[in-house]
Amino acid sequence: MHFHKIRKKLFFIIGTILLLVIIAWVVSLFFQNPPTEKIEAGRKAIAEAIKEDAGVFSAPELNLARKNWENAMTDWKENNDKTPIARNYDRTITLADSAIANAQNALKNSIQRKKEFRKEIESALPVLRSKIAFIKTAKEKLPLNHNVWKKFTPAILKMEEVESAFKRNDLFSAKKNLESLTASVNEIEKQTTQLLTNYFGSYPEWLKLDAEMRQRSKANGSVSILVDKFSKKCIVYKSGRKIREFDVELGINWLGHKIQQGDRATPEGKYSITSKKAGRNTIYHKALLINFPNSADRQRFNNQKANGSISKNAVIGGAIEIHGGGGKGIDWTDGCVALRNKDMDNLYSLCSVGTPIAIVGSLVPLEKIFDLLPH
Amino acid sequence: MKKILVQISTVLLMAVLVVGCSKAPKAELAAANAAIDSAKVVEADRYIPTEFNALQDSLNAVNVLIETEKSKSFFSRDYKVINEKLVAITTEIGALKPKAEERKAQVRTEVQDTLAILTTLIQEDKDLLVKAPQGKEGKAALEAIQNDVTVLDASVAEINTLITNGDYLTAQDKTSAAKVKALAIKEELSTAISKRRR
Repeated sequence: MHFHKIRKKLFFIIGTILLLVIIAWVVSLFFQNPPTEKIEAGRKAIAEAIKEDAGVFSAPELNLARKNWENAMTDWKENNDKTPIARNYDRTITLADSAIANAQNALKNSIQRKKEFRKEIESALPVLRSKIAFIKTAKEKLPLNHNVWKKFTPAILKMEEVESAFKRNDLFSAKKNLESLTASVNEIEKQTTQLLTNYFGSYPEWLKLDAEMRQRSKANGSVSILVDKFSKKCIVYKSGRKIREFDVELGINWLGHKIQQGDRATPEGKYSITSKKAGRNTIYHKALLINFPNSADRQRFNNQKANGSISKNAVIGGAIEIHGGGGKGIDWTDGCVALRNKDMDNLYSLCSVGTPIAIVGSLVPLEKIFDLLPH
Repeated sequence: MKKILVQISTVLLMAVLVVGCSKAPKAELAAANAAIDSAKVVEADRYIPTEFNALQDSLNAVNVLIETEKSKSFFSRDYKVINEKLVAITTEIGALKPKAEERKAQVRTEVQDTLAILTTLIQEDKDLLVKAPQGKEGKAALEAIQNDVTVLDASVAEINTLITNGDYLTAQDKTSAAKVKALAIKEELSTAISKRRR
């Protein structure tokens, strides 16, 4: 009897528990479903964006997506700590939706930016290479130590870095360096072009001097000399015709007019031979002294001194010669024109005191020398 | 009576087991998170990003699974698979750490080797500059080369800073670029010196 009572009580307890469980299960059917799908979609969208390097190319959008996803997870966790009936996933879903939208945005932006970066780098590199080639050509033809070239080696190094980063597909680093490289190369190119354009501004005068030298040799049936600094040639005219041409080497800073003593520039203008030197009178095999400074040189020197572009204590200098000792393959004199000794012998024999000589920048126009000159 | 007591004990034991199994794997999750943090310390996210991101995503996926289980009624929760996944992820992240360290060391060694070659080359350039023809005719060229060597020295200083900051890939780009220039200078000076000897 007692046993029967206990069994009855037990069945009642188990039955009650079962009933409560069934009621709880039925009630749970009316609860809000957990936001698993939305959260999963957010996670997958973020993973996709990361795979497309959104962390590099669309970092703000990706970070926002991550933040929203983490907040959605926190909200979900907080809801899960509540009793089922008190759970509300509306905010979790809103946050997850935002995370999805942000991640999709990051993915789209990243793909787009990568494409744009690649295109930009691919189109910028050949332009930069062409500009660098132009600067290199100019550098080979112009004085070695001009200030313009000081920034050239760092630019070359930067160019190598950009190409290296691009090769290993590091578009971000390549693009980052490309901006400073382009600015630097453009600046050097601009300065080089300006330097050349300013210099070649005297081109019509140079042609006139050349014509005058030809004309004078033709009129007198005598010899006249023309030195072309850019092509590094010394041309000998006789009776209006070119009879000789020699290679020359010039002053280290040969570009432009000689302004003052010690500037190591080779003068430009119309001169004549004032003295012939040989043997003990010269250390350069043979030499032809010219009448530098002429009146135009003095005028220029005085003007520059007056306007303060050179020191008041500056001295105009002199002793400019055409002499031997050349053939070194580099511009090395203090402003003189150097020929190989055997060429000097030849020239020396053709010239006499009073022989006219013109020193000009170039007989070839700038456009022909630099077909690379950008337009 | 005895029989009933045994039955009650069995039901209670099962209930304890069910409740025990349905507990969220806090310790395992903490271990996995700690593993991710320690992988970040050795910059696994920088040196082996693909593997690191994949594991980070797997951990996120497990977090979603945990919350999904937590959303269920307690008697239907099952963390067994999640536990296994967490253990597997923690093991994989653990393996990632030496891999990242190895990759980092490899990149660092490569940069340091190239930097050592570069430093030697620059020193050779400097030695050759002393031996180069010092006459009037070579002065301008030597000045230009000296300027370039100064640029290379500055580059080495920058590379060292990058190495100190752990930015080995940028350092490698810079080192390779400087090496090309240093080699060109060496060749130019060697040619000038050999010309003089002839």
